[in-house]
Formats: sequence, C-alpha cells, structure tokens
Amino acid sequence: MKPSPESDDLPTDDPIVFGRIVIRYERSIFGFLGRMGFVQADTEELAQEVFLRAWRHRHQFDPDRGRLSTWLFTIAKNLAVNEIDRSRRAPAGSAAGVDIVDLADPAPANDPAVRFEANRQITQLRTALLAMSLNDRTAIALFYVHDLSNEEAAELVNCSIGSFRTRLSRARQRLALVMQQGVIDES
Amino acid sequence: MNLSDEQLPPLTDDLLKDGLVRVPPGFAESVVLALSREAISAAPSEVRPLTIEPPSRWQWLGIALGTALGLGPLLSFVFGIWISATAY
Repeated sequence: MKPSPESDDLPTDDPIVFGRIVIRYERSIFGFLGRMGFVQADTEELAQEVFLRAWRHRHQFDPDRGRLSTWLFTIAKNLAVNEIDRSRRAPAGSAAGVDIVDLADPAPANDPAVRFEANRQITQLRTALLAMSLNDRTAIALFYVHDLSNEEAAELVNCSIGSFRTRLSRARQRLALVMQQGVIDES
Repeated sequence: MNLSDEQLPPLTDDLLKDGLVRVPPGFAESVVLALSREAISAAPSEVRPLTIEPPSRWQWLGIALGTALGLGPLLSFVFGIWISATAY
C-alpha cells in the first residue's frame, strides 16, 4: 500500500517552520545513527548534516513518491554509509566508528554504579554492532525506527520485504549470540 | 513482525530502542540557527545594482530649457565685456 503523504510536514522555505520537522524527527535520526555504531559526537555532527541536506534539497522532496520520514532516513542512511566507508579508508585511530569508548548516557542516573553499568552495556552493544556486517547493522538500525514501516525499511536497503525480514532475523540472532557469548558468527 | 524466534535480551532490546545516544539539549535550535545562516547567505542582495539609463524625453526637454536659460546671462556677460573693450 502506498503511504499517504504528510502534507503538514512538507519541507518549507522558512527555517523556523522547518525546525518543527527537526524536532519531530531528531530522536529517530539520533537513534538510527547510534545503532549504526556512531558515538555521541559523530552522531550530533551527522544528524545536523542530515537536516542541513534535507533543507538544501527540500525542493526535491516529492510527497507522491513517499513519506517525509522515508526521504529523511534515505539521507541519513546514505550519509551514515558514506561516513563508515570514509572512516574505513582513513588512517587507524581516526575512524569515526572505531571509537567505542564513548560514555553516552541515555538515562542519567545519580548512582555512579548504575551509570557505570549502563555505559558498560552501551559500549558492549556498540562493540557488537560494529563487529556486524554493514548490511546487518543497517537492518537492525532501521528496524527500531518507529517512523518507518518494514516495507519502507526494506525499500531503503533496496531489497524485498521478505529479504529484509530474513536479513533482520539473522542479524538479531547474531547480535543475541554476540551479546551472550561475545562471539561473531559470520557463517 | 514476529521476532520471537530471535529474541534479544530485554536490556539489549531497550538499549537498541533508545538508540545508544542522546539528543543534546538545544539541538533543534542549533540546526535552525545553521539553516537561518544558510538562508540569509543564499538570499539575493537587497542592494540594487547601479545602472545608468539614458534620459527620457521630458528630461531632454528640461536639459534644453536649462541650457537656453543659462546661456542667456553668459552671452550677456561676454557681450558686455566686448562692448566695454571696444568702446574707445
């Protein structure tokens, strides 16, 4: 089924009005980039670039071809993949996705022990995500985006919904295995 | 979508839902500020370019009348000097 356009969210020439779009999608975009393995500082930079590019190319958005959320996540996915490719080619130590020692604090707690444990879990999960293939990581990152249906997520990774579900299932199994045993199963 | 066959640990699932990173306070404002700067720099300049247009018909008439009125006293002055110089 073709998704209905969100006429109230059409990109506008007014930066202030465009700010509403930023507020509406900032959490989803940050979440997606975080699941792609980016640390807090890189995520902030990339998320800003997502919205700047959306603004610069706002006249290219066609509501007849898809929803605004799909268009925004296409920009975000392309930027993330380009950044990961770029960091792989960069000299060791400067790769954006390799810096896993980032103490992002999604749930600020007063108890240092709780914060330490939360940061440890985040670091472990990010390490596990970075160890996965880019396709598997992208499938997991898109699956948790509330603004996207599975059909739209499949379209974003250029595969059928069936292939996307298979890829996602396999990626989650691997992630569960890594989180339990710290083992990467590349078979 | 049924994912019961590949359930992740609840904490892992929660962390993935949260996205592992936070939106910093004031992020949207900083984006809007950057967009505003870009919009201002991209806007066409309000200063009109200096162009020299040829005078209109009425302007030509004004110039001709002004010239005629100005020439009168000048010629009178020159004629007066000539009369004075040739009086003797």
